[in-house]
Amino acid sequence: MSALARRSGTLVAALALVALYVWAIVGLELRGVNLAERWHQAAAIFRIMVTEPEWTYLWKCGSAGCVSELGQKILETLQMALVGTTIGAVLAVPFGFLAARNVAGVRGSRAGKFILNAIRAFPEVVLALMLLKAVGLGPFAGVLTMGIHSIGMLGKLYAEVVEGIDRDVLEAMAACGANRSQAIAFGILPQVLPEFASFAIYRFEINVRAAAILGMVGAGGIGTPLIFAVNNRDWGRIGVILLGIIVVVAAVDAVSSYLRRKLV
Amino acid sequence: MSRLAPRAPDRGLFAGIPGAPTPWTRVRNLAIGALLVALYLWSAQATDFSLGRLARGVPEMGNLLIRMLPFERVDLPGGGVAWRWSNELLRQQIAFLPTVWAPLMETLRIAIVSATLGSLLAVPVALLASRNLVRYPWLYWLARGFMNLLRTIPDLVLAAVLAGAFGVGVLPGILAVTIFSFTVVAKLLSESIEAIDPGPLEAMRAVGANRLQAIAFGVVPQVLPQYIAYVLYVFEIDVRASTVLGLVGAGGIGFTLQTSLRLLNYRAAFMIILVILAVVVLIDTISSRLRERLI
Amino acid sequence: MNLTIPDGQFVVIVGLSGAGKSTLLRCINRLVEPTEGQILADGVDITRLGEAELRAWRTKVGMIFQNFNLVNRSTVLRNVLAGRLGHTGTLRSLLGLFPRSDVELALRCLERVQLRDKAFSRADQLSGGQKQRVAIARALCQEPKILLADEPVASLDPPTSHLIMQDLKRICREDGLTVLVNLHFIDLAVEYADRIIGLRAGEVVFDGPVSDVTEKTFEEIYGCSIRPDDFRGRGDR
Repeated sequence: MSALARRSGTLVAALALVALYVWAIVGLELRGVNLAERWHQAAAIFRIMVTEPEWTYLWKCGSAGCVSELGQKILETLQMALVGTTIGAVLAVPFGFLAARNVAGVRGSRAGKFILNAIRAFPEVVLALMLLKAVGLGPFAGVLTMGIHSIGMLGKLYAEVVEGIDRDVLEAMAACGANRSQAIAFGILPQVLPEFASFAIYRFEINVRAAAILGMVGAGGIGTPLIFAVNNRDWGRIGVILLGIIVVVAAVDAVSSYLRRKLV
Repeated sequence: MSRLAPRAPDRGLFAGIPGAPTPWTRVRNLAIGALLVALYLWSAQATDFSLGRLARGVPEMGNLLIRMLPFERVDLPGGGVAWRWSNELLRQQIAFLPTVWAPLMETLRIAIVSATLGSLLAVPVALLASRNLVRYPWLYWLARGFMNLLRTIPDLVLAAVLAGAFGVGVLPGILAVTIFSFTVVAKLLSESIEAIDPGPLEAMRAVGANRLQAIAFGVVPQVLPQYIAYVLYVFEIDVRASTVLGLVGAGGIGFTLQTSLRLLNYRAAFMIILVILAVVVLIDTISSRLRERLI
Repeated sequence: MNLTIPDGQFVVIVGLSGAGKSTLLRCINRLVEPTEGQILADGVDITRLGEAELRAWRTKVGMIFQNFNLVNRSTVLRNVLAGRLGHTGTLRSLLGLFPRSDVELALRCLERVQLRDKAFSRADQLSGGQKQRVAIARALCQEPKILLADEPVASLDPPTSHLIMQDLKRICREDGLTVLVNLHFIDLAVEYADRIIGLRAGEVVFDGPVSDVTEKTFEEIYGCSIRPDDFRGRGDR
């Protein structure tokens, strides 16, 4: 009986899965799309990106000296990520403590984590669209977006760090005659700060990618010239910009993981 | 520790203690600190960061919010503006919901198809990127490099470029999210494979199984539950990613959102954002329940 | 219960776990609030101290713990300097600007537990015995009059236990400290104590000098005859 039930259960699950795929694929309306033709078109474009990159976008020398437009925009992207991450990393600290079970109690922690999850669920680009309306086009909107959005993830990770705090140390601090702020500075902060910093650096990696995206909706950084180039079908420039993003993201990942290994 | 560093005359205090800070430690730490502060200030200035703009933005934000909700604008005789709750506008907002259905379903379809394709493509590359399975280091590094290279490109950047290359529509969306899913699953899966118990694999080789047989009987059973969990996890983030694809012309509900924002129809935009949030939270919940049961 | 402890005595409190040893010790610096009764030190009732007075009292009472309670990620020196927190202004200590005399004192305390050369190691790089010696240095750095030790050797192996107890006894003799140690090992208690107090279920069942202790005393404290488990065993020294 149980074997039969298990088998029929598996069968039902399999049928449901097949139905789901049929629904998903048939509904996608790809029938009108000539895949071969599209592929040829795209392949031609990729060829241009690789073989005719617009190197002058990377480095151009004129009468007024040499400029790197790509470099400037990439630098702006990194600066956005740096400021945005810092804001988020600092604002996440109170959230982290308030969402920790050993600080806020079970109920407070649940409420805090709910808020943090809500922030995380909000797609970053959508948040950027709203902030753009409020503070206008430019990198500032991007910085705010990353600052707010980072709170969601960092707050949650911080809360887990706080929940792992060794509280016996506080007893020792009290026994030394330390007051509350001294006990926190000597007993708690050394325990949590390295891990907070490590998570913030990790978030910086994510925010560099986010900063590259946010420009595409007008929030500053390398995304803005990228989306212009896409709209102008400027494939040579797109090739150079993509190369720039790949190199910088890879470099940031490498530096960040080195720093994190050193910290904890 | 930097704060414990002594001024120069104190040097004798720590004489002979390994690791003791020298006056240079203090100088070096101060220099690093000053450099960091300068970097922040420079970056803040370059990104137009200003509290004044933030303060001016807050009422703007409130203004935007009220135009997203069913409030009717009333021009006061004195020249001021007031906002009044309107049931009619609320009805309109609710009546707008059904038009979101089709693009929402498209979003989910993109996520389902892409998560599946990406996860399938990830399997061979993950096998090649596992140190314990691959005999040739160059092959391992090639697979690993390919994976890491694709991983550096942000998902929406990829979608925008593909939308340019393949033409606007769901096709570039599916491709972009497929590649994104591929990078996520390939990385997680290769890490799982590298962490397997080598015993069964050796046993398979010992009984004379060929490579594929050895993988099928020595590796697959060990990583299958984790693999399924990764597929669910990547589906979860794919739903999130798919909701915004439309902003760069790659299909899904994001396109509807962008249209209503461009038409300054904030009440419609609000409903779309609500739907996006609801779907993301719902899928997250279902998927994490399923994953918990798996592992 | 009613106990009087003269200055400079090395008192060991023995009893089963749950007998109230920890509570007794923690009432003295009020890490546990006594529900009733009085604790008098030089004629002052500890239980009635206000917050600032309590902190001042705690600076005179050093304490060491079973699990050392060090901040693992901080340096040894910083852990020892924590003992000066009660003597240092809040702002000054938050900035880490301890007076030079405090840093010298901390190093001297470390020297007394033979750990001066570890001053700049992180606490989590030390062995268990070294950690407990750092904790002793932290307590000494308070320049206390009384030292409380709550199961100081329960997390250590037998030879290290003896080393720690010897250090503790030597240092307290040198400084003339009053010491209260909780132990549940009989042999350690007999070897190091001036006076033994036996607790059972919150009541004093024995109180007297080591010379008065017989096997029967322990049967009273532990409620059964002594088993080999109740001995720590000799360290090789």
